[in-house]
Amino acid sequence: MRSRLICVIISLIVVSCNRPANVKLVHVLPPIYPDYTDVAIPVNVAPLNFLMRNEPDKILVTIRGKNDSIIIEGAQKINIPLEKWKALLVSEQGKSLSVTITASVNGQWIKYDPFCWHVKSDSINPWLSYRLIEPGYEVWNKVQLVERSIETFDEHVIADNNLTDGTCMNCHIYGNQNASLSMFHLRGKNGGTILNKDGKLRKINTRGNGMISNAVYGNFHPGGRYAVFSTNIIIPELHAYRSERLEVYDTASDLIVLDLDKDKIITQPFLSDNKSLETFPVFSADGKWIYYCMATSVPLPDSIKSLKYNICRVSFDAAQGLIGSRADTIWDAQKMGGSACHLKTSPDGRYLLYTVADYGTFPIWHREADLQMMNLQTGEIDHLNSVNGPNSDSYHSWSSNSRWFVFASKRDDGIYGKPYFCYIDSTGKTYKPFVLPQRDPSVYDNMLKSFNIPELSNGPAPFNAKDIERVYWNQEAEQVK
Amino acid sequence: MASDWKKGSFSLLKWALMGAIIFSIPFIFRHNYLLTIFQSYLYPAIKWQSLLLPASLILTIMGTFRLKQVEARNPRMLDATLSFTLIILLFFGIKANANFDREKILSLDNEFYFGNADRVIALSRKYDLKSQSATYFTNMALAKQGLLPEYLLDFYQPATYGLILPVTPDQNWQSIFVSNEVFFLIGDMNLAQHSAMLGNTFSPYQRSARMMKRLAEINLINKDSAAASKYLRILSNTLFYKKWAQTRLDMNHISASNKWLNEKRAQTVNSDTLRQSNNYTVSLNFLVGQHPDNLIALDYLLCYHLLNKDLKSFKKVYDQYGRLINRPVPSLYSEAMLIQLFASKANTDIVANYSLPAKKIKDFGDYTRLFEQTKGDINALKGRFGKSYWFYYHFATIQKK
Repeated sequence: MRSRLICVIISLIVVSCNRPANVKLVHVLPPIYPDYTDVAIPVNVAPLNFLMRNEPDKILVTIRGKNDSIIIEGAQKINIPLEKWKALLVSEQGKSLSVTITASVNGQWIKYDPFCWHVKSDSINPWLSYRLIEPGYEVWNKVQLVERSIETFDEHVIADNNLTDGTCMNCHIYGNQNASLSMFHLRGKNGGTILNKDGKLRKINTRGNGMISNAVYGNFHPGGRYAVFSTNIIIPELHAYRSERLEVYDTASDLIVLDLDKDKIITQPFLSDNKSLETFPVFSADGKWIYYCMATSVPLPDSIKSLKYNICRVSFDAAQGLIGSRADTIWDAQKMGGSACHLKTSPDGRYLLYTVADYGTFPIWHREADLQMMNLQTGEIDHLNSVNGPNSDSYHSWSSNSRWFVFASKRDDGIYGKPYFCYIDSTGKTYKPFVLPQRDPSVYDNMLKSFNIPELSNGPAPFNAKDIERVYWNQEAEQVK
Repeated sequence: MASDWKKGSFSLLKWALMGAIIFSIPFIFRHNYLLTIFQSYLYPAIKWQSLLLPASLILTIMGTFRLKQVEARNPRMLDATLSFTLIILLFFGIKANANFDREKILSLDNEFYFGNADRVIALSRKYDLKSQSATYFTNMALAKQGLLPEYLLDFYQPATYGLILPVTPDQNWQSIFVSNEVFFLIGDMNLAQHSAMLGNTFSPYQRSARMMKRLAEINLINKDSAAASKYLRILSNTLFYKKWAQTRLDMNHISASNKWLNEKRAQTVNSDTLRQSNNYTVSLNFLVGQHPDNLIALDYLLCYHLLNKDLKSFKKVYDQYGRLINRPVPSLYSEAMLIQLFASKANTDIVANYSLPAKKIKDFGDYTRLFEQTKGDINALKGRFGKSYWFYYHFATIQKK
């Protein structure tokens, strides 16, 4: 009894010693990283762990909702317990959490202005895949395709180029955000486009007769039978001026549709001539249209600043497997004063999300590259000012409920891309985005790789790096006709 | 007997089974670590040679136990044999495996890294290496001291490959690692950044403090404080680079008052162009066009043309920028200009216009006469003119890589 009493007294002394005393109130937001202040988050997201940049000795964080709250203590980093966090989000969905931070900096307790986490009941697809690669411009060394649970911190490698002879591998994309339908291009002498259909892996050589290259940027038809691709001759060149880094442009590009059931290429002459450049094709949500970027060919690289891509669309008949013979321009680059790329239609068919840069084909190194969103019913354009950052924002992907999109942003340092999530409500209003939470919030500080081409999916991929190794070395590629 | 055999057979089987299990473990679990079959048995070694050290350590430990038994029987004999064996192993081991040329190149790199250009030149003269990498450091040290066009041909020159190290898939990582130094020296910050990024990417474990220091410096010069902070933050968490990072973090705020930073910023360009990463003439021309007073870049461009035997381009650049520089015409440029003026049948007024040293003009006459007399005998010309541009122009063979 006596020993228990002593323990209680000691605990009370220890706890009382940690309580903030002589707290100074400052009317600024706390210097937390990542910047999670006043962001909208899905009900199923993993804890938003963060650190403080001013290196405090102690931090006391109170996350308070209407029904429940969590108090966490830490030193520099805050790791929120997963189970308590999950319960809190479920009980507070549709409401806002108030986050108050009190920190001891050089022995002085400081209380910062509180901020909010708006918990949205619209959940996000629970898995995210991306490519981890050094932003080494034109060449690569170690490349991995990785998938991460957004709800927890689980991470799996689904392809690793160490097992495939050091080859490059490109974007892993899903059909309808469905993990049982996905593909990516594996380059190299035994490479091909790896198609995953219900876990069965096929390897396809997508370069048919007369094509200028293998398939590059692509998108699945909502029915799953077709995929639309661009074929591109891609040139990387270096800028000379200050921190303008790399310019990646096409000297030729065409569009094709691939019938995945018959390994057959479907084309249309005006989409494969050399007068114009066509790239970044996607199907509309109903599969009746192909949206793509189109620019008139100009002498390159001399006229690079005149290379501006429109957004066009052409009809597609899935029953007949036919591309329409006439295209419409729905976004005129000259009028809009920019160049469009990376198109993505929302699954509900309402929006087209794309990136706009001042000029060029592939602006992931352009500081001015920003996301824009077109309402496909009204033609109205949202410049997404609350979403875009000071560096390039591009390569986005929608969630299957069309309430979230993820995009790669270099907003932190201009070099390393990270996946940011943005909420869009039923009226089309967008909210401040937040970066993918990590178990250790200093991961991004120490990482020297970019998160490329983030894509949302409804589950983990039904294959792993071992399967990809087997397909690369042992499986013959199917040749398209 | 039968029972002994059975016992032995069982024991053999037991050991074989254990061996098979041990041998199969790396193979079975290799996918957990994303390793190839080869790597799973070697890891963490990268090559077979990397196993030499741990293998010799294990053998030594095993040998020590065995030798203890021998020592008990004949201690003196053992001492002598052991000492002799170790000396022999050490001698032949070092001789067979050590790359002394690489050691010398690393010492040149080290001296250049610490800013000792004069030491680099002195060591280069001493080592007299026929190596692209050694020449690379020598040329940078010469350029830093404004001596490139004076002494370029005093050293081995593998065409232009000793001026700028190519960054191609067939280069080893050490070569890619140091390839940014020349771009940083001449003031092409974007090519320097490109090469430093690749240096980081291809270094073991894709992390290098030296590359991060360079990337931080480049971004400080480019006034990209967010990118500079990224690398400085990582370095400030290291034991050995913490202090360095702190001084640079301070520069990120009070950059205007720093002499080094201001000098490097003065080299940077104010307009833009696009170029392929291996198109060095476009890059050097652009740099010189932006800053004709950037003597190091100008010397690199002129020497690049000369080592390529492109005298027309040399004369064009020299006429446009080289003549603006207030210095006596360097030896190499005088020699090259004489060839070009002679080939274009320039009259004496034009030749006089270039203020070429009288001795050079006389030497050129001597060289031409000797060349004609000996019908281009390399041995006859080598003694007096072996380090002249005329000799290089006549006898060097350029091999495109």
